[in-house]
Amino acid sequence: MKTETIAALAVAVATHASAARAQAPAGAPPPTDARAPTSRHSIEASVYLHQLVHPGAQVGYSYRLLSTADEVHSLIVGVDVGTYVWLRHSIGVFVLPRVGYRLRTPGGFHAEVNMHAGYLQGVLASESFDVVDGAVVASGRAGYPYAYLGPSAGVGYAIRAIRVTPFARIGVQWQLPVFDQSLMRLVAAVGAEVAFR
Amino acid sequence: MSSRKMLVALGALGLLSAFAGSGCADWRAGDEHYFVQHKGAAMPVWVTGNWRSNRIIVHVHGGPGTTNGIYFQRSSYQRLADRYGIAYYEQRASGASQGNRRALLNRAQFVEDLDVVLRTLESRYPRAQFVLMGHSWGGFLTAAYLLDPARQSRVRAWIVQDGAINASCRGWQLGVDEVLARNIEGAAAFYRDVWRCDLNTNTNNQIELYQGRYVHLWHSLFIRAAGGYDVVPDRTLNTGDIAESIFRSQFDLLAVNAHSPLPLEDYYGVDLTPQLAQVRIPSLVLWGTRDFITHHATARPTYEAIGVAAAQKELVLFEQSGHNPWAEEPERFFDAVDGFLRRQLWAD
Repeated sequence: MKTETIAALAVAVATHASAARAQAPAGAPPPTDARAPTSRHSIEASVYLHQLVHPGAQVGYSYRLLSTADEVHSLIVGVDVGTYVWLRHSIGVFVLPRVGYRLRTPGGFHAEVNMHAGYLQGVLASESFDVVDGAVVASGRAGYPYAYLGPSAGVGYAIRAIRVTPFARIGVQWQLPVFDQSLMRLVAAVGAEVAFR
Repeated sequence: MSSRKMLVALGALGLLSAFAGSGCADWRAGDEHYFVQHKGAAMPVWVTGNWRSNRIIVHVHGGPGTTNGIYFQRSSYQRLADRYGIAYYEQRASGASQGNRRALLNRAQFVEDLDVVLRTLESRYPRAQFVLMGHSWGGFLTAAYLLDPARQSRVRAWIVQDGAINASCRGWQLGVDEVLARNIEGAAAFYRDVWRCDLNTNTNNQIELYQGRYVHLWHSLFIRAAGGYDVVPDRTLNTGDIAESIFRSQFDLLAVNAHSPLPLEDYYGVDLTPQLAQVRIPSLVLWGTRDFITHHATARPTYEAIGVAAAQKELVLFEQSGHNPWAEEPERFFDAVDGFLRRQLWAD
């Protein structure tokens, strides 16, 4: 990120409240100009690919914490909740807070980098057994907790007339512990973000 | 389409894709999948083939630290599965298992894990008879298992293929000599400056790190460069096989790549050959004559050391194979295993 961008974001912190008021005057109709300011709140849904081949889905909420007046540069915080299925291996359910920088050009092109850090609960895909004092005991589907963190980068295109931004995101998540060690997982998400009115 | 409808459509698409995988056709109808948990490991067990025959081959993979996911695609194993059940499992810290706690990475623990898997199989298939089959490191592990008479009594026969039975420094030196004879780039300096494996005391540095890799992994890479693993590498594992494993199975190839070979204690520097006299069950020894990693020169000593009469043990050498005859000569491999089982155990 350039120095000017950082400075612009700092200014945005100072002017956050007044800018927000200026963007959304009470009782005003929704903006129709393609470059008009949008809400700070958005939700998203996407297909999630763990290791790029294990299918899943996630939904998320984002809040534009800081941005320049023209919304070209923004600092976004959010959280995603999702799941994936690894055939005959495990089912994963995760809660993944994130913080990221977003570049959105006036034309609508959108690029982002994020850092995710959260919790992944893995559940074995089938029944498991233990041997206790020589006897075999069924123990159901065992679950395993993991920390789940890593960076991602994405691109998208904001269709402001309907406040929808289709996006694609790819990243790596360190899943730990796996084997009492960390193991890198490749992940991707393809979906759409919808900004609130 | 309104944004609300788009969201609903995306959500439906995600859920559909997420759960479509669970409905995929199995490798074979009637396959069973479950996990055996023991001391932090969740070892996936996959029982395939004709396990209802109550004749089950328990397959113990190589490594240590690789996967059972490389065998089943070959016609040798497919044909065996037509006739017998095959129980694949992934050892501790291998493939999709967990439990890679350094203190548990030793021969005794892996033998105990195998025992727990066998007990689980016995419980689930109470009328079945079991044959133990080990490849490479799995050959060493199965041999170690059989050295306990009580454990040995639970299996009907032993099949070892290119087993690392002689994991002593003299055993590894056979491969070193093959590499050096072929002037592989960098090998001379490596074996002179890095490799330590005393031929008399067996003190060694096989599981010490050198440039981020275990010394033994460097040895494996030199053996591969010397052509000592496969005569035709594509016959063992090609791109299609890898893709099939990634998309259709639980096998964690990334984990295999990250964690193999495991720094296993009480393996490197150990030769079990002198103890094979304690093996008193029918045994089949299979070996590729172009194998340098578990050198083919150790095949006959392994066969001869097994403690049963000649009528109860067989040695089959594969002239067109390196370390993986099951893949390089699948027809001969099937004939050898099936013939042995018919002659020694199950004539009908």
